[in-house]
Amino acid sequence: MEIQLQEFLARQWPDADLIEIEEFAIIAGGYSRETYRFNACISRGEIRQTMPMILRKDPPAAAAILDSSRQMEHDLLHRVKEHTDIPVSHSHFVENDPVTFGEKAMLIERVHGSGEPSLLFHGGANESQAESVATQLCELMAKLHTTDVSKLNPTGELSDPRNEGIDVSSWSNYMDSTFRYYLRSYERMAFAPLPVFYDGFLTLRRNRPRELPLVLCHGDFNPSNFLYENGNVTALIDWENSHVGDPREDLGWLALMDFLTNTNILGSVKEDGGFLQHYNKLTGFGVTPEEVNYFSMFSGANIGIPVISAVKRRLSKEHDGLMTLYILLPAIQSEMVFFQCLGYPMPTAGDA
Amino acid sequence: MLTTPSIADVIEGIQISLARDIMPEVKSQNAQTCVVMIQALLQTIAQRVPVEQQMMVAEMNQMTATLRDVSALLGASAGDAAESIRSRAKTLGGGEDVPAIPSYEEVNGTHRKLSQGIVDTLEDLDTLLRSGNAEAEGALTRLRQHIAPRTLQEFGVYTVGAGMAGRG
Repeated sequence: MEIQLQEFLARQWPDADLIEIEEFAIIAGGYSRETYRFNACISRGEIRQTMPMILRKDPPAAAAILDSSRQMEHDLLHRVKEHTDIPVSHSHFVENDPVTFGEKAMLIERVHGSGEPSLLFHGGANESQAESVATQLCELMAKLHTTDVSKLNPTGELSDPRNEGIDVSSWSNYMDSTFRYYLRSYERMAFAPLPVFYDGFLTLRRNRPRELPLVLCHGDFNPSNFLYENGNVTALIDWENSHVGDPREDLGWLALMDFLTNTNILGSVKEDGGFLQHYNKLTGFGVTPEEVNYFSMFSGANIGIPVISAVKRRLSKEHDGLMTLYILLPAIQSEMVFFQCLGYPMPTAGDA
Repeated sequence: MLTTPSIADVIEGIQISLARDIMPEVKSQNAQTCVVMIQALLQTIAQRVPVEQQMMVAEMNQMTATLRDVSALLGASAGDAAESIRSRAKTLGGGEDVPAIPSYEEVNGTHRKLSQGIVDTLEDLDTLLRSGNAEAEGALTRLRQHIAPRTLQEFGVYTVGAGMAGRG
């Protein structure tokens, strides 16, 4: 891979005398993409420049848990940088020819900062930074949700990035078309009968909340998708599932993943009385805890459908990766979030 | 209870990963031998789990019958050893046969069919609820009373520690 990288970068920077790849290593924990870290050392005459970079590469199609476009992510990172002050990695290049790296890929800046949210909580080494980091995350989410969506989605490619017939011409159409997508996708993901998920999809459709303006959602705003240092968020990462949607989707997904990853971002904000209150003050959206619950299920379905569909493909032996087998565990645990949001009766003796 | 993937499916996935992801990184000969031993032990689990309960029940019934037969074949033999065998045939061998356990495939197939029936009923209840049927709410609650404990059991079975592997 180092040789491919060296050759690719040489084509991008023909003025460089020498390009060397150093400290190349795989980054563990990337579930949807294969990610590698390295330093690109570029010599131009007497000047030698070291650029910390990340190669973010698609997995083989059958094993992909999220079918997303590197080109779209590359373009979005540029727009977020241009139109907001949300910290994101600079995306240097996108390579859509799968021949170069084996699959489509992008090369992005490797931003400094820790990617270990667990150190912020439960007595972790960085616990003193938790409040500041969580507050900034809240503010960054609010900033994203109050940015003019037409600036971040000028060509409309984030309106229906999965090509599932999502209609963003109004909030109501968005919800209706998304419910249709969820319900017809059930068969695609049901590696076994999954009554809780199906009940969730049907209940979402029967109990739609009040309308809010459609915004650009990060789409995977979870405790593993930011970097931090000295109490500051240095980057929001993994924008591959970004889409036009309801702002409460990011809140709901963060709540769900806060539970699944055993972190406590939502509980670490003190300003204005808490994460949701602070977010509401900044956005004016007036989101209620009940709406967060609703959108935990809604966004759980949004990400759950492609992820659990990949599990189903693994179980029908379309591929044999371990990760898609392992991801069954958090997928089943996410059933509990549906369980709670649906208000399932707690079992008593004699129930069956 | 989620019966898919089966235990054999999960073990097969672990074996593939051990061979493909782990073995090439294992440096010492001792550690490589350990991986081979782990592979063999995993294979025995995969082979044992789907038949263990059925085999045990069948063997229990065969053992009680055998104890009775052995006692009968001794006829009126005298002595402590013969008495001991006759006594054992009455105690250990005297119990009722344990009902045979259906095969894994049979249980799994029926369980799946019933579970799909639960899902289909959810869909029908949704249709009734959306058309304003007042009784459907109570019926949905009854269905959820069944789904709730099985989901909690599932959660208990499939939860291993906190967090997600590899994610800081």
